[in-house]
Amino acid sequence: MPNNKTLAFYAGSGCGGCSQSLMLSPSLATMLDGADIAFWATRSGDLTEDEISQVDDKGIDVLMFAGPVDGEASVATAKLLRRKAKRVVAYGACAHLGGLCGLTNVIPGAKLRELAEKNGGFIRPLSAVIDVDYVLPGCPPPQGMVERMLKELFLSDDVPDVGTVFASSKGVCGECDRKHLNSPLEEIRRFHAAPPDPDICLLDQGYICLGPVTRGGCGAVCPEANRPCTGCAGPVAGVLDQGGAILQSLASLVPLSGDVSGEKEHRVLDSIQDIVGTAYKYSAASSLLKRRVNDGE
Amino acid sequence: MASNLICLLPHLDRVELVNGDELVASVSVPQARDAFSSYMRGRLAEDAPLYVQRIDAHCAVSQHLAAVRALDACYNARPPKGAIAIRRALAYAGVYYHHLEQLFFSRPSGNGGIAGLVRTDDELAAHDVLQALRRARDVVDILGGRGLTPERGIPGGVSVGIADEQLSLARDIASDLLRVALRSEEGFRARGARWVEKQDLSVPAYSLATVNDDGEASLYDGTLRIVDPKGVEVAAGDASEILPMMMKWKEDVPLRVGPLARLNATSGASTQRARELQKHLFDALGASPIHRVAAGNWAMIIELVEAAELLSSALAELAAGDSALNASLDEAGEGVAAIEGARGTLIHRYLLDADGIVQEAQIVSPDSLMEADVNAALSSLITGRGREVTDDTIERIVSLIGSYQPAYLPSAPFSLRIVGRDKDGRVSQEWRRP
Amino acid sequence: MSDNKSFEPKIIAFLCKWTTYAAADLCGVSRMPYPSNISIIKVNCTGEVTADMILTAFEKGADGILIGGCRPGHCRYEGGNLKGANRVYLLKRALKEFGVNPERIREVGIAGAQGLIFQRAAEKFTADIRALGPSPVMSNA
Repeated sequence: MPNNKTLAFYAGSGCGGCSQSLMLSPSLATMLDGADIAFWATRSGDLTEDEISQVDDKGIDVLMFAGPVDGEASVATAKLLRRKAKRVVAYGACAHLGGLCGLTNVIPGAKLRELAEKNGGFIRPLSAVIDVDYVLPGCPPPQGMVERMLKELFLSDDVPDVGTVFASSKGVCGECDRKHLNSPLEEIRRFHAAPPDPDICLLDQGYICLGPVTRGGCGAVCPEANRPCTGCAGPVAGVLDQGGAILQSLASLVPLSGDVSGEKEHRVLDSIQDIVGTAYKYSAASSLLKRRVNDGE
Repeated sequence: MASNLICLLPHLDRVELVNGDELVASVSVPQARDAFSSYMRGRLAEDAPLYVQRIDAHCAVSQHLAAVRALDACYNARPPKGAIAIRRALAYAGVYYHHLEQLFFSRPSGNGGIAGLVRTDDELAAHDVLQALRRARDVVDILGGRGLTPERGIPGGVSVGIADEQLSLARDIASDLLRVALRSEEGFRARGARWVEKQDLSVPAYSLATVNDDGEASLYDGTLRIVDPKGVEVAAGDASEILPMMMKWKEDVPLRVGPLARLNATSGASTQRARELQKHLFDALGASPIHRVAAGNWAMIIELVEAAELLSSALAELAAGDSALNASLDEAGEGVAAIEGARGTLIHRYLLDADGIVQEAQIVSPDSLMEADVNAALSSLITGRGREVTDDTIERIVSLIGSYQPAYLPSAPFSLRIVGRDKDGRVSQEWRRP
Repeated sequence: MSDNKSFEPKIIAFLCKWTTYAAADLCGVSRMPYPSNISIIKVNCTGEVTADMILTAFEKGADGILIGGCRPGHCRYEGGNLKGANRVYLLKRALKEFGVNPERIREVGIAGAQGLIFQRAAEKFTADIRALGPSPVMSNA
């Protein structure tokens, strides 16, 4: 069924995983059947400002934007692209949340901050600089979610409501087959010596898994591969700060010792290592705090 | 050039052509070593294989496995056979996928590109190739556990085994992949081989590749071997021995990695069909060492066959439901390891503290090695051919960069920009291909 | 650097209605003024205070956050206050990573009848935040 829409794909920077996820989608051919492609850029160098300007304002029905907004140039491009499109999809974790790149907002370190300053700023989610109509989460978006997006945007007569996220609004736990034991969190475990029991909830075993605070729709592939969810699809509906949410959940799972000093609890909580890498792996740039600041240090 | 900060491998999308006293073409590949180490400092060791594969998703599998093997070294861990078998199969699936993606989707279209040369009219439609790419990705998914970005690798082993049905499916797909690879190579030999023979640009270089115990090419792990431009071995050892040599490498003597280097630094492919096909190449271009830059394309197509053969035999060795997949870990420390990825030898080094937190991280990637090689080639191409920039000059540059494709052009399809500057450095012209 | 003398900190206080909120209320009734810098949000229990609430307060311009609940052992929800305390403990670690001084969050346990103690705690916290200066979080673009 030809869809007669004009579409465009733009990935200014990033690792290329999102472009591949789209290219590899089995529905790609059907989507492209009859569609007009304004442009398909997988590098910022593929497309000049002039070329974008030549497109009519609102001339693109759906623009898919992947990759992080990582400096003044990309902010300008994002704003220009916004004018040219009726609807914009934040495609993938970098566009949605800032992605892994966002950790550079937080990490102290002379060389890295130097690079950030050179690029004119820091990593921001796309929604911080333009209005975003839809979100396709994931790093990269898993095939099921890509298919769903293609179906709803290009292969259907209806137009999805603004604000649609092509994933579940509920947590990954809903799709995970592991048994819940509701064990208290008495000891944090890492992937040393032996991997987890594949049948029991990772949190029950003391492994930090972001399933409870992360949007599902991926089929819980990571827990299925006996790895924890690392949060790539961003926070569940209603949560603003994904890192804060998992830290809050972990803290709530630590059993209360009855000791007023809280020493036992603190010991468990202190044993959580790499707080930002663990809690904010993909979402540091979209945290309510956004980036590292200088507070009298 | 915008770049995300984890995307720290050098990206080439432009050539500078300066028309001063003479015409000079060069690429400048930004190196961001310190930034990568800054990024990784403080991260959990077992997360490294997840981070590094998003540096450039076009070699995600190679990066993942290089990190995992380096972590084995950090922990003095010796993964059990079952784990190695899974990782090995994943590596071959990765080489196949990454090669196929580069061959057909990541070339500038000038001169028809390699894709044009490979596709004979009805034999191999774009649809077929895309389908093969999807299926290759499916094998990576089965073996790696998470689409194109694997996560099965953990220090000392893999996180979980492969289910029976999944393994059967992977085996079926692998035979399809071999068929596509053979047809691609046939198509290339019918048209592309002659094109290669007509390309006379030759850049002598040292070659680095990984070999197995028989000196044949390994597309995963083994001994790192460096030969001089005449093919004489100058070094052989493991990553920790070779890494310091590479770090001290002099710029004016290029060190090459990748398919062309593998022709020169090894005694050939380790699989039957690939060896037969390599005979055609050697018959046409002469015995190794071969420094004709365009030959890398031909070598790459044959490697597609090689990877498919290796994948099939690796899958045959896998046992479904294997549960002995992890080794015990010693105290954490420093580790270096290499794997032979699609683009060439990839080395990772990590220094962990006693808690398994990364203190230092280093990646020496094929891309970072190739800058000298490419510049030497560009220099040979341009120098002494006068100062006029003709269409022919531009096309030759595009072709040349295309031959280095595996190292340099990660996205599909993309534009190569050639920026012309006058002797005062001002941009006077710009060419884009396509 | 800002002139701390003219800086009036904005403080958000999440106060448990059974204890510290009642103490603050008592201040009002007893004409024991506490600094007007403090805006109070009444919660059922400090265990109800989420990371989103604390971080949103910072994002909207709070220079300091006061969390007032039951003393340990006194929570009518059996340890809600302690869970809340554990959360704040972990959140402070995250704040440190983002460069925010964790002293900008203070936890107090004040019984409902201890109006004077609340007044003093409120004055002290306001003075301490004034000394720290404006929170750099709000100026994030």
